[in-house]
Amino acid sequence: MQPLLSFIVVVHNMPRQAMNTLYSLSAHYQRNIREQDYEIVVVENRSINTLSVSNVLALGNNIRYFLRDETGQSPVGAINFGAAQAHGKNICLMIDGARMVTPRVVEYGLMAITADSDALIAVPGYSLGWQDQHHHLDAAYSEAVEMELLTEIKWQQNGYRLFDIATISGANPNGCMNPLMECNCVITSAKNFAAIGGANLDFQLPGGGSINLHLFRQLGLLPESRHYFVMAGEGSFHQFHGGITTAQWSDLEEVLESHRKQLHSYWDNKFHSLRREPMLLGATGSHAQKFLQFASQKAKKRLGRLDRHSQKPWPDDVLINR
Amino acid sequence: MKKLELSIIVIVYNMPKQAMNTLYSFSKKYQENVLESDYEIVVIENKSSNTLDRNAVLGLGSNFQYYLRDETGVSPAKALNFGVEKASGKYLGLIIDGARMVTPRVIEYVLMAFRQSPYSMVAVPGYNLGPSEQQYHISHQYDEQAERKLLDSIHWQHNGYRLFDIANLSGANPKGALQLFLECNCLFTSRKIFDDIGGADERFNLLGGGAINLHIYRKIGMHKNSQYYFVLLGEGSFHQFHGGVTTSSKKDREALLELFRIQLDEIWEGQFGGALKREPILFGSITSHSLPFLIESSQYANSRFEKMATRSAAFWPDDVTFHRHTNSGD
Repeated sequence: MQPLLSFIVVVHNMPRQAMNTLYSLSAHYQRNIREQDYEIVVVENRSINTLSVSNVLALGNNIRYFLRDETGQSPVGAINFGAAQAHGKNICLMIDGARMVTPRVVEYGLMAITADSDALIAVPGYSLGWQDQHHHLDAAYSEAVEMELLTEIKWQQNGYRLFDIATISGANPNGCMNPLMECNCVITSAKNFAAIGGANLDFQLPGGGSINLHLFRQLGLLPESRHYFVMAGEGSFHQFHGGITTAQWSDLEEVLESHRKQLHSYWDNKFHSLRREPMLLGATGSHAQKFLQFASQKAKKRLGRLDRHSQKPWPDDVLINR
Repeated sequence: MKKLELSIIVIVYNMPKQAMNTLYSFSKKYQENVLESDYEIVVIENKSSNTLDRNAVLGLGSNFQYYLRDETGVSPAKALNFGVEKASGKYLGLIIDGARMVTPRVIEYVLMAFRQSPYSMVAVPGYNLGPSEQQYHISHQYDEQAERKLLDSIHWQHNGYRLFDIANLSGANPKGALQLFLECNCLFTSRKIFDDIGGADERFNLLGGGAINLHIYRKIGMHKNSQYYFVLLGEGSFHQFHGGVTTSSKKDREALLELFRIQLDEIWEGQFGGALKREPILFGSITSHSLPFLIESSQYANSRFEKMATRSAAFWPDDVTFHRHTNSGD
């Protein structure tokens, strides 16, 4: 049976974190779904520190694993490779394998594509730990601390407890009801992904640079993606690893500036977060509730401000026929 | 022609002005992102000295049907069953009190919810127009005229979400859209489930149907096929002031409610389970107008979760009978 939805998880040099991510996507952990409804396509760029293939495949019958050589430092080639392997008509792009998810991402993803097979669906981002991970080294936060936190909450039994040890991500600093800058767990139709030409291979900076921001906006501006869903009560949680933006770069600002430059050159200096009205989808449990409250307060502030200036809150909706 | 999906049954009695607002709010002139052919509105009016203008009703769209019927009793239960008989949709919207106007994307979201499962249950949270619960209105000098002025001032026909600006939370869901609903006055279910629960139970023969809405809500909510329970948190159904049962200021209001309770209790043989304690799947966009209510609801939800967690009580005990995982406790 063909799966409805393919999760594409790109991994490089972070087997421990990636195993958490893959477990969180597996049918052991995801609720109210069947294993055959979806698949997980793991694409690993070779390093000295790779996943154990047998451990990955043991997570379920709906997991496929590909190890590939990558000469560059960007995941874009791996994303496109994963998309080419996917059997689902819809794909979920997880460009950074260090992001664990909550237990009903698959259920609600399937619901949203049932409502509109070309929908754009975003899972809001969070960072594990007590502040956004750019600053972690200063705050004496480390992998060991994070592992302790994870052990403490027994997240395998109730993945919503991840909210208890997380902070909101820089991708959506004002919560899930304001414009999202990017999304690290985003569902689109394979057709729409093809329509934007896949992940642009020019984004060859380490970690892909701003590829995620680029992709999210490109997908969101496609008139075919008529419905834009945000799972207010679910999350994707970034684990600490030696990736680009979580590393302590003495020249982090410089790196980010190179990312920005590349992005803005593609958008004629008009790059902006996606300003489309989100449709919320899903239950909000006790653990996510404080973030919903935060998001609604932030949204009220933004909408009030725009209203006072007679500005439209969702100008990007103009392109969409709704 | 494709088979009609959704029929909305609106029961009207002696409130033509309010009902015309309600019907306009369900029409294609006002509902967004839907086609007239996606749904129909079946208006059932119990005869009074003050009825709707049939032509005005049918003028709202080619998807309107109107029936005027004689009713010797004081309950809308029979009218509701009559409406369902006349309706041709697979899915039903039950609007037992024709005085409730809705926001512009109710139909769009309901149709989306039924695509998830033909047995979805969809609840639209309730609000009252005006500064406070309407049963207290007369003491607050709120009346039909004051309400009309309020409605005129917001030009609701152009942006129905402005109804939130002049409303307060209904007693049906006093703690907002994220908490338990005692009943719902704008409720959607499948025809199959409505039939399974025996339709509107005509034993509810008291004024306004007594507690029939609580009964129907719990019956549908606990039906084994109602796996998916959606709440449209950014939409609303807004009760307009009229001379109905629960908005009157009669001194014997409490006595009347007591009769309702006794009847409900009799029909459930003492086993009525109260508000539906199931985890809602939230669905739909939030506009700036509904945000203050979401913030309020969110605060209520937080305190409920905290309270329940302290007691190690399950958050959504009515979910137990459904084979779905919900976030029922820690």
